[in-house]
Amino acid sequence: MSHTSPSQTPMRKEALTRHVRRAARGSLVSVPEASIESEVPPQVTRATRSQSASGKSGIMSIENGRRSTVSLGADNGTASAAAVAAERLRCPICGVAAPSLFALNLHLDDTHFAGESNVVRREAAQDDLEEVKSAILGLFRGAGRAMRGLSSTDSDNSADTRAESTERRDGADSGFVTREHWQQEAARCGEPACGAAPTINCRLCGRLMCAQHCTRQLRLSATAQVVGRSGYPCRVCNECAIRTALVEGQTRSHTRTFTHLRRRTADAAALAGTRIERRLERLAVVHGEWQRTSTSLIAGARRRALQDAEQTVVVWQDDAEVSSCFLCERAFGLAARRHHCRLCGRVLCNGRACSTLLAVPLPQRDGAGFSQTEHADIRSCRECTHVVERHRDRIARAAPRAPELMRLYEHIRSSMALVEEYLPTFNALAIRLHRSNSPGSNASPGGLPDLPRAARIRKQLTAAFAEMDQVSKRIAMLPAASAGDSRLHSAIRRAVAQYLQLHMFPLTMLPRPPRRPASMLGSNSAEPMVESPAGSLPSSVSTSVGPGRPTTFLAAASDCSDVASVEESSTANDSGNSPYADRSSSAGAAKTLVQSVGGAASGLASSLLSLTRSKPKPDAFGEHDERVRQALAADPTKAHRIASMPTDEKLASLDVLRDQRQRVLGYIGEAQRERRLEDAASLQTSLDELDIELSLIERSL
Amino acid sequence: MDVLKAAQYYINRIITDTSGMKVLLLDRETTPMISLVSTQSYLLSKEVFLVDRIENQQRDTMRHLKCICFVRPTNASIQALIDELRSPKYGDYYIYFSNILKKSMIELLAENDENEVVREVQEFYADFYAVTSNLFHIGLVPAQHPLFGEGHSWNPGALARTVQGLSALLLSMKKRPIVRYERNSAMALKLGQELEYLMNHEANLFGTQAASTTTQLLLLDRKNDPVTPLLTHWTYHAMLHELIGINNGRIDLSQVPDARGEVKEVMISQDQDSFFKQAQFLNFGDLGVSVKEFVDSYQAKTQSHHRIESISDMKRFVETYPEFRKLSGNVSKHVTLIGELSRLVSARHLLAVSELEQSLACNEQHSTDLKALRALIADARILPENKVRCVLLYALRYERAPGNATAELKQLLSSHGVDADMVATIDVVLRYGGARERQSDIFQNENIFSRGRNIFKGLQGTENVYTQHTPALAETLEQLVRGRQVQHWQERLPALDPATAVQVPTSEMGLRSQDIIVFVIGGATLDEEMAVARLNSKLAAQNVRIVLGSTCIHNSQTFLNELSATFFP
Repeated sequence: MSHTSPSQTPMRKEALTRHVRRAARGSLVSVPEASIESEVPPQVTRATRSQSASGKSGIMSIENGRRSTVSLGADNGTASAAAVAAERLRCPICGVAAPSLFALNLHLDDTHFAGESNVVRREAAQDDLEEVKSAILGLFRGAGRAMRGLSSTDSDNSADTRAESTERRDGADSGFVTREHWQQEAARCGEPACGAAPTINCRLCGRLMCAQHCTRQLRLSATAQVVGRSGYPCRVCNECAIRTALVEGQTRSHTRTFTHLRRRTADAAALAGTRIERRLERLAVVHGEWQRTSTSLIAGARRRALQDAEQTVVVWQDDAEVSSCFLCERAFGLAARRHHCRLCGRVLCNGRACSTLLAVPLPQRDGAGFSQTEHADIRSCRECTHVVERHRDRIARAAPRAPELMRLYEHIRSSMALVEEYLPTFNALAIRLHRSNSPGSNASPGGLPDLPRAARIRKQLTAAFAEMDQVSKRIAMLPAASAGDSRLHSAIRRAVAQYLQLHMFPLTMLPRPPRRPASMLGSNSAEPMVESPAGSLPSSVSTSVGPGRPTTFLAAASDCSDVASVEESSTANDSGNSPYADRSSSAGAAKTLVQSVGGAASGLASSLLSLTRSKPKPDAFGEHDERVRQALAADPTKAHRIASMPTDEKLASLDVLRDQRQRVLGYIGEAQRERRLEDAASLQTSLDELDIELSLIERSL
Repeated sequence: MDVLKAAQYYINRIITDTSGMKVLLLDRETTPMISLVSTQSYLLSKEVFLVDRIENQQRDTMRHLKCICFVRPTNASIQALIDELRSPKYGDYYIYFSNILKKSMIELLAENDENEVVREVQEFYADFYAVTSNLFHIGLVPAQHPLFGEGHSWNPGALARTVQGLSALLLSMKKRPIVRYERNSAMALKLGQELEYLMNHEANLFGTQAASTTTQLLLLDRKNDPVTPLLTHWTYHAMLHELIGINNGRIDLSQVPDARGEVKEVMISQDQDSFFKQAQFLNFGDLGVSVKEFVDSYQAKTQSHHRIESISDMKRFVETYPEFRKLSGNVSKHVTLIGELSRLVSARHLLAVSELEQSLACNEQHSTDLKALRALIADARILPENKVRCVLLYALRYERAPGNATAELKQLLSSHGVDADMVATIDVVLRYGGARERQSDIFQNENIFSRGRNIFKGLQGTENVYTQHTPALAETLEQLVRGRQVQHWQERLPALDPATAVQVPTSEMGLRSQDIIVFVIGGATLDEEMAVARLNSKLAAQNVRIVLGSTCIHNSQTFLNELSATFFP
């Protein structure tokens, strides 16, 4: 390794130390400072010097300085070609060689884990989401059309056409964007100061411009309006580009002035705080001493001894000097006795607003710290009390409150970060899969190489979503000390539910694998709907969105249908202890549900009691049984299928069905309260189906 | 030049610049400003879990939250902030002011931040109410903030607030415009001078370079067009404001007889509600068609949801359920609103009233109008307010006509039981915006040329008798943008600083690149917003952008109330 030049200035050292600290923070690599210093090549040192120079001029320039420093350091590092080291130290992500561990960590910090790249990724995620959404909606529309038996010639969805168009160069040249507004003839370029002959039209304003003044690109809609990412890229004149750019409103920061002005007050307050706190400590010692030593039996003498001792800490104001309380101005007399503030010595009355008794813990007998249980009451005026409180507050501030909530919330945030990292990849895969699987394309049945990968990511995402859901539920359950706390908890829960609703949507995008699991085949004839694309959408999305949110009651009917071949075996048989137990068992149960419920059935909901394991009372539920019998008569295979199920599977599905039934009941209640009677009616139908299924299983047990 | 976006930029910055669990504290005025441009769920998605008022003393202590304050720099808000800083309830404080701070305010805050909890103090100029992308107002609600001092002069508080709001708007768009004012309006001149002074004084904010020649700020005075706020308008947004009343995007339905029990208040927002965005400028007839289509499409969806025959149907239903529910809420909202509008229209016989109004506003037919007006006053089914509005229109149009019968009509009103106070507003409006006060010839009956044009217009015939009238603003803007009658408009709307030459669009250059901010002192109407929106979409390709602002958004009721509370000599 090259060594730093002997003329190392103290300033450079300081800058280096700062770098080292940052590197250590970012990558959890702790190396002794001296060794790093010796390792740093001259190039990096020079770079850091430039940083420390720029660091003086404001926060923004520090940011910029740092970023430029890094790229400089990395480049030079490659160029210096300390060959051996470079071979060893390559960035695991982009493969760029680094001259030293220090430089490598710096590179990792700034290039790969900078906050900025996260932001970009998040935005990309949002845009992808839009695209996926429109693709899915297209899917729904397609499904609806197929259902109504219309021709589906125009069922290509918007994502396809858009993707094709982005590959072309200019939206207007390829005829996607209107040219009606184009200026037909002009002698000179539309830029007033420019005299050049015009050659090209601005696609936005339509003026004829010279090539030099028409160099920018914007995305335009078919009617030549500026739209976001969804438009066609078009060439526009420079003026249009400037005018359509998002105007960032003016802002002004007073933070520096403010902190400067604040320093004086804050320092004074801190000083006063420590002074009073020290007095309190000494008073506590005096009190402790007094309790131990004072043996006089006469109360007055004891008190006098204490007061004398207290006055060794703070000198008291003479009683004769004052005739009224300095805070409330009440005149002293027989009713209003004189008291002294033990912290400042001034005379005041004992009114509640004027003086308080501070509880001060006494020192322990062995002199080690203060006692937890024993304390003395010390009279203090309002002003001193305020100072004491503020000081204690300041200390309490350092320790964060509600650590449990913070911990859980951090959990949610890390899950969210995970989702934001993987979701864009997943969306891209899903769109690709969807396209290759659409009816028009001639993909071979086995030709979905992305499917296992997508399924894997999907599983990770589902886990992250489930995690967020679980944790947010726990937050909602946390004991709330105040109304504000409970509002906060439920708001976090709402935010997570909202997030899930928005981001779990794309998970439904994976197409059905070409070959369906054997267990599914039997039920196909009973429900033609499953064949339509919409029917194949998994609904695992909705398992986790909480109470009050209209989501699925058919928990994860999902996993059985889409990527079943990939992950089915692991989920369906996984029982009991894992945090996702309810999901996996519901996957199994939903399978039976899909298999069994076929024929239509009707009838009113029977009471909840019929769902308990104990046998229902015959008189109360005779009617219900009758209906079940009728349903059975209509579809005898169903009973047979249920009878052939193993008992533990029956029990599992029973639990799930009950849970679903509860939720549906909740939705019905909600729908009726809000007078959405159509919704209520359709929910009622599903409730009936659930009821029949339930009683069938119950009987067979 | 999108007012909504300008405000949203700031709100977005305020809530995303800090990460972590946050509480947002607002004051009396920033609360409605934010609720106009943002939603609860948007705030939630940006980790703002609690929103509260800074004046609220009953807030719980929550040290683990970061606190974002967005307040106007008023004395009340500064005092509330000081109280908060003296006993801080939250962890860190990030304070954003919606306007320019005084030095003394910063000092006061700094003195009281003994616990060193403040992390940021910034000015983010979102100090206006963004109603739609073309329309903003300053929030000078007549009942709380009287606009006029004595006659045609500013109430000092209102002037200060207007200067603040208008300067904030300019800062949010990074504009330093040429200021033009209506020559006959002392209020416009005064406002222009104050604004110019501020722009020079805060040169580092507004930019030191000379005003850009392509941006104009037109300061207009309502008194030059008192007719538009008096008419019954027939577009959706305007009807809602006129007949039910919109207060910062909220519509109070508690007076509506057939509103469903639990919905007492609905929100109307261009940003959130796609149906409203489409239907905002539809007239009442088209609106019926449009809402029918909307309901049909909803029903089609319901039908497909209703046919739930298999588990997969159920699955699908449940997956689309949230979307569906949102849609169903929106459908029922608009159906309720439109139902109420049509009930009011027929109950108040507004079609008959409007026909007469339009005739009074647009055509010169003295004797016919007078006859119709007498019949209208005698009609017991017509609301007294509407009778007064018609008489007002008559009085304004035929103020100088021979045989003016205003006095007789006033007597007729009284004899038909119209409240004396209401009759008295007729004189107030004449003093406020009568021929003596106006500089424009809004009725086109003052000289032989305009009479000729008027008659010519009458001969062309009209498509719809209820929507003949276009606000004077529409023509003003059209002529300014197209560079017609330049002399006339420079006479009427002189630039404040005579040295600056207003760039006149010539035919050679086309109409390119003009930004116009119109500010109406004394209240804009939603009809004028529509005129601006139409002009914007018509001239979008020419890069002409217009924004309309005002001290408040008037309907006929608030307009008359405000005037009758003022003394005009």
